[in-house]
Amino acid sequence: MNVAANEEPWSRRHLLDIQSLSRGEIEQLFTTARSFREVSTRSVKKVPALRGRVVVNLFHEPSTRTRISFTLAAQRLSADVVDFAGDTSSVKKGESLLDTAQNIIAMGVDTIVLRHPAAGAAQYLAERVGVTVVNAGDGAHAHPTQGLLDLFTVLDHCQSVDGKRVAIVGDVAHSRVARSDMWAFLRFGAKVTLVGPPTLVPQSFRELGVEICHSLDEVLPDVDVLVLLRIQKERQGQGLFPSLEEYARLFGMNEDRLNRMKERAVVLHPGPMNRGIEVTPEVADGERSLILDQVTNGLAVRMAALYLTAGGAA
Amino acid sequence: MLIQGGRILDPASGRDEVADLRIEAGCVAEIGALTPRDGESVVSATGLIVTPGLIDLCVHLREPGFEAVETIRTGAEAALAGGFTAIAAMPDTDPPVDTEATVAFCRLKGEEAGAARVHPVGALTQGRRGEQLSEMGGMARAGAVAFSDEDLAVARSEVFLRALRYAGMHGRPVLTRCEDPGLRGSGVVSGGLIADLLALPAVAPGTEEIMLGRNLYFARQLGAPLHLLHLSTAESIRQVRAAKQDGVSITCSVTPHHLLFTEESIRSYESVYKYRPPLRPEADREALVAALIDGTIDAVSSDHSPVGEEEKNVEFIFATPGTGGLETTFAVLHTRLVEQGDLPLLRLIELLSTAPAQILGVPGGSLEVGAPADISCFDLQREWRVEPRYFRSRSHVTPFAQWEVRGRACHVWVGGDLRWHDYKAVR
Repeated sequence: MNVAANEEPWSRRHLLDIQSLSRGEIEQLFTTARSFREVSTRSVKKVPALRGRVVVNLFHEPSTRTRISFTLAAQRLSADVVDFAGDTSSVKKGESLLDTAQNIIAMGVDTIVLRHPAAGAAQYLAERVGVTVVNAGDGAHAHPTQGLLDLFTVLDHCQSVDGKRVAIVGDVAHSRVARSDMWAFLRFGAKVTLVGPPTLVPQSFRELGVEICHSLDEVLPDVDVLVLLRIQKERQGQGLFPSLEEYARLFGMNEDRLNRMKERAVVLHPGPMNRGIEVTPEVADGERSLILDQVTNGLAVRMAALYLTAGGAA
Repeated sequence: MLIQGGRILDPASGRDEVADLRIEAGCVAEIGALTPRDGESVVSATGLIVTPGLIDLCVHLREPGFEAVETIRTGAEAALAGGFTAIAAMPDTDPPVDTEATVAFCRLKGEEAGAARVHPVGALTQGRRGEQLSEMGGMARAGAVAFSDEDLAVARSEVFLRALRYAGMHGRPVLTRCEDPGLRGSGVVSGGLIADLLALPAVAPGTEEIMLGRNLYFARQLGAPLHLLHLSTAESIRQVRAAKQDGVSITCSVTPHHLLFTEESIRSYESVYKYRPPLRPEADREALVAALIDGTIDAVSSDHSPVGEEEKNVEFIFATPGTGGLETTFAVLHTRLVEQGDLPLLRLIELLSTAPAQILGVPGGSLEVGAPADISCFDLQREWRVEPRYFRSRSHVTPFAQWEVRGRACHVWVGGDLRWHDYKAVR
């Protein structure tokens, strides 16, 4: 893979979050992702870029789409891929994360793709093991490939987000997607608004230059990119909002609200969706929805992440 | 025994002069320009400071129940190495210290250790469950110097009110932390931008102050001696200052880590900085330091909380809060707050000896003639690097590892008995 002459070569061994990435690094990753995207359209969907390397999906949380996306990404780069479903019920009681990882590494692994319920788990592991760690979600902290693929998808659609208004709607407090999207869009000059009830939106993010609004209807006319977050039903049990019905009424995206948005505004959702709660089928399946583009692009972005963190060489 | 030529620093009398100090029958016998008597043993303290032995009013010795991380013996030896002649052992053991028998066990184990004095603190409620009053009469008889449910603030206000009244009958102080359990929830860090960026659950604002408010109200109503442990916020200090100005009989203490670190330390999920209460923003830390100097804060306690390496070196959210502290407290506070800060040396000694002795009502904290000879000599010029593997404590978890510090306990007497001599335990 050739990098443009004026760019520093990619030097990161791990991909842990977006906050620490520069705009140049993200652009480089996107350039790589665009060239890999073409691979998925071939009849033989494979390049030998990571042949001989071993990638382990170490997932300590249930996940289907992210795990499959990483698996396919690694396979298209000709890496060997193994799934390791870590203990998802009692991470604390069983074998420690570090012990699990070291056991896997002893088998000759090059990259660990880690999904873990503890915020900071990817950084914790990266500081203690000698292999590459790609964060596939650590608690509510970061999900960098999701943030990257969301930005990538939007840039595909509108070339630039500089000065554009991005609204992230829902349970920001418990969302690693929100934290990753926020950093990704800020890095590219977008204006970010977080939308949701005060119980689900950390007020401190104002200190980052982010706006916070508790009315979706108020922000809709100004929004260019609307990112809907999955509302987790157990948050209701924690008393953070009164009912799913009220949530849907105040913050759910529906056709009526879609019609009050700018003509070129787009809607994203990281999935899995709660249809009828944060998003109605008309919106999710409508022509302004980029939801399936996100999934497709996710593969290319993850190929780029695996490739660059592996040193960009076969 | 004659301690010769040291700089005598006694916060109880304000004395600060180079002099000799004679120990007789376990007590301070005289201070002045003294000549050794025939056959009298002499310890030179030239170039050293001679202070009342340090007293820590809140340490966790983990025995019985968690002897792998600390025992009463190793804790008492660690105390001695840090210049402490007495420590108050909290009841959060397994079983908890909530009966006459467990208090006696703790006291006897402490005496056997032959290091720093170990003063048992009895549980305020049975099993530290915050429901039934514990048998404080029996525990007081067995040697409990105070009562506390320590890590658990008694949540039910009516129970705490009764416990305060009942403890008062036995003339023992109540020590309590200020933490509203519901507001704390599952919080492990202070609320704010850092917590939100790290996506770690935060203790809600008011967790400390609301419980503090309740406790101040009771202290005001009852006039009972109440000590507030581990205060950590500027607002708490403001409330305490106001209450003291109103004449409420409360005292409070803070930990070295809350005086020296802020929440900035956890930006990369370093679990060695995970404490209860959590580290706070810089403005709070500055308020604590100012309150040390102006007297609003009465004492410093290491809150020595031995933690196993495997409990600490895990993901932040799963890590056990706390840190050891007996062997580092004097040196880090002397280095950072006295040498590099505005805290007078005599005030530091007061915070670490005279004040805790008065709060607990135990001997020590004074070098006046007739006082028990619990005495420490420190070399303030002694530079050393904190190497946890040399700790006497079984726990090597500390945020001060590899710190270059100045000031170390050279000799320590407990009841006139020289137990630490020339930086080594006396066998």
